[in-house]
Amino acid sequence: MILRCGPMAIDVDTDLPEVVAALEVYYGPDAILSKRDFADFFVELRRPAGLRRWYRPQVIFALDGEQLFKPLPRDQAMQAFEWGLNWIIEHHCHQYLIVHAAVIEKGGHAILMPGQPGSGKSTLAAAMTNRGWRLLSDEIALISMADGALSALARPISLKNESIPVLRRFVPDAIIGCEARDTVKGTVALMRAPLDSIARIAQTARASWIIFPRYLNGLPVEIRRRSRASTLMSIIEHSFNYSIHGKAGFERLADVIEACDCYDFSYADLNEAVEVFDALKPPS
Amino acid sequence: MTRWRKAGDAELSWRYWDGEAVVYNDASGDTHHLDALAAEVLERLCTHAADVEEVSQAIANAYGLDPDDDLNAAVAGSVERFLKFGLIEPIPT
Amino acid sequence: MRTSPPIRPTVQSATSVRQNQVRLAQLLACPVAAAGLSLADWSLVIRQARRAGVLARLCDLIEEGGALSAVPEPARLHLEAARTLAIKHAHDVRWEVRCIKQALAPLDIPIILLKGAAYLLADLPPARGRIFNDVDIMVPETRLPEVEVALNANGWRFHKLSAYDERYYRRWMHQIPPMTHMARGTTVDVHHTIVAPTRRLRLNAAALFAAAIPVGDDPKLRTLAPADMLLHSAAHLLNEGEFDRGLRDLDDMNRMLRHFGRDEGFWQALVERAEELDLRRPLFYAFRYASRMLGTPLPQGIEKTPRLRPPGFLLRSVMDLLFERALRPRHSTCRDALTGPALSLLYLRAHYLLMPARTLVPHLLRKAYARRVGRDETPERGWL
Repeated sequence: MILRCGPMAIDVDTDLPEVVAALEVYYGPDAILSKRDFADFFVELRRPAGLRRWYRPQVIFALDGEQLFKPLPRDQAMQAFEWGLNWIIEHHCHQYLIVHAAVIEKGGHAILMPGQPGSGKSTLAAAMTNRGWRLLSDEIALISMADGALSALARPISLKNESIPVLRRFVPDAIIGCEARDTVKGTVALMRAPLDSIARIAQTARASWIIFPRYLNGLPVEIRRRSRASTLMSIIEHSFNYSIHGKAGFERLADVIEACDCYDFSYADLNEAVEVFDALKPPS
Repeated sequence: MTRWRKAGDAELSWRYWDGEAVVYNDASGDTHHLDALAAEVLERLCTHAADVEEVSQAIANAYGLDPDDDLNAAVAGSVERFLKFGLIEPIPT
Repeated sequence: MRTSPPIRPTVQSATSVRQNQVRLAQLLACPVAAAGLSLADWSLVIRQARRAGVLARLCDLIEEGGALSAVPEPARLHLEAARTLAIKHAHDVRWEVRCIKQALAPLDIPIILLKGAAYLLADLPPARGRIFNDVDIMVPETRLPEVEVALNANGWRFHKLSAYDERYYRRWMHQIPPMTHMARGTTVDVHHTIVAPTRRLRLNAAALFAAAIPVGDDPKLRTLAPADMLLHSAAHLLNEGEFDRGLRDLDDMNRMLRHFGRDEGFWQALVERAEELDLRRPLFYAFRYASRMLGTPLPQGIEKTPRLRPPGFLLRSVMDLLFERALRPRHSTCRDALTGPALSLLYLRAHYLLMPARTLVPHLLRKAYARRVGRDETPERGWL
């Protein structure tokens, strides 16, 4: 089958019926296409040959026949798929400047939220996207090198540990599944992006704010301006392929930042966070 | 006193924002974050070769400051870092 | 949803494999043919080229031929993304060579750049669209200890190797173990000759140094003379049993033969040098497979010249069988039933050329064990 993922077509070869079903749920039925002439990447998600096919069954993720990482337990098959897809994007999609960041958008203005895993950006993105914001991505921001526009992927949002029950309460009718315990990141689950976000994948966006989020339990919500210069340096740290682009990467990133107001943001309560984000004014 | 100038192979791109600067050096691939003073020092050395005292004096004049030991030390510290990162080089005597 | 067997290299008929990989070879030989490729063709070519390490090179060649704008956008994005990466690699290698030069300057010794770094600094065709790994340099054997010390003092460090592996490098290979820079993470391989001293051959490294030509503005920095550069590439590809980048390495020779071969005197000098350095057989195979697979134009009859002492019909046929498979892109669409055995045989042959039997068997057993328990650090990466 072919999976349409943002601007890419992924040929997915799998012998796992639960993966086929999950892809349709989490990417939307319109994302599943029949085989066609061209695919950007050819991936396999399969059970290994030999013992681990049956005993404590595993899955292998491969790109063009080459295994990308160690096998994972079969009940983490969708996680394997998502991590594999992240790897592929980070290593091969150099038409973009790629940043570890969530991207949400409302009224034509997008927020870029850089952060390492565990910073709370995925949780925040998951919450915002169910309170009127469109989701472009929860983890990987794609900035076009040609014109600085942000591309949308609207892939499933990965939630970890405590954020899973928190989001279940915050968005009672959210589709949250593929829960797997004892992974390297603890308990993980996937939340489907809202159908509206998935439907608008083809729409790019422009960043108006860059906000560095941090979850700080028990403290009141706080948002503080930070300098553009320090923002550039931090984004470089969160970027996978900035160094590959050389001077063009510097100029492109600087242009994006110049058009934004930049903030540090800490929160404990999602409702307070929503209020702050809703009150943001576009840069003059 | 050693006189300093921009390193021969350094190719610099600048952005100034709110009293700070970021500089990209195409030769090394490094990106640098400079505060207001460091930015002044590097910019001056890129335009004219000078020694630490001359740069201090020029900055003091431009901003109505005292060319005191603190200023000299700050300028000298910047020069040391720029040399380490391959942004400037000493002029051979 | 289709059910498929578990992951293992798929096996195809020899005919379909030949058809599959012909397009990529055709493009390398004649890049303007890119204008005529369908999207389905591109889907296959891109994957093969990526595995073969020639995707960025393909982009450059097609652009040079003026055909890049005719490539459909989904395919063009992949070509250009690979090229972006290659540009970065080239940039890094230049910086790395500068740093190595600086570190070794006090020693006042000639440094010969090898392979990728040489192609880049000398602006030769194999540098185009290249993904570089380590920087390879050659220094006089007598000065090796000082070089180690100087690199160490400037931030390069050895990996941790077992005593066996360390002995292997120094005794059987022609280099000290690789050194990696602590801050930059880049690796330098320091050689003292270009072909491992084997049980049958000890190459005269002094002859290589004598013929080396300067590059750039530093008289200490040199590359091998064109004939030596080509023979080095041939010896590496055709004697050392490593084919991960087989097609790319073959194309390097294709490009060099086309480039240097414009000078008529080159061919004679090349054959003479091969005799002198006892590298006739690798040169024979280089001529043979570059012309057959990539269309390299050769002077009439040079493959048959007796000075090369070509192998007999039987041996030649066997080698054709093996090399034609080993030199294809490392991709499932280019594998047939004989590919696995071919790679294994060539791997064994490489070791046979290198060491006497009494060392060979224990060495191979040890390698196989190390690979099984995941502790394999030595440089060979042949497939068993």
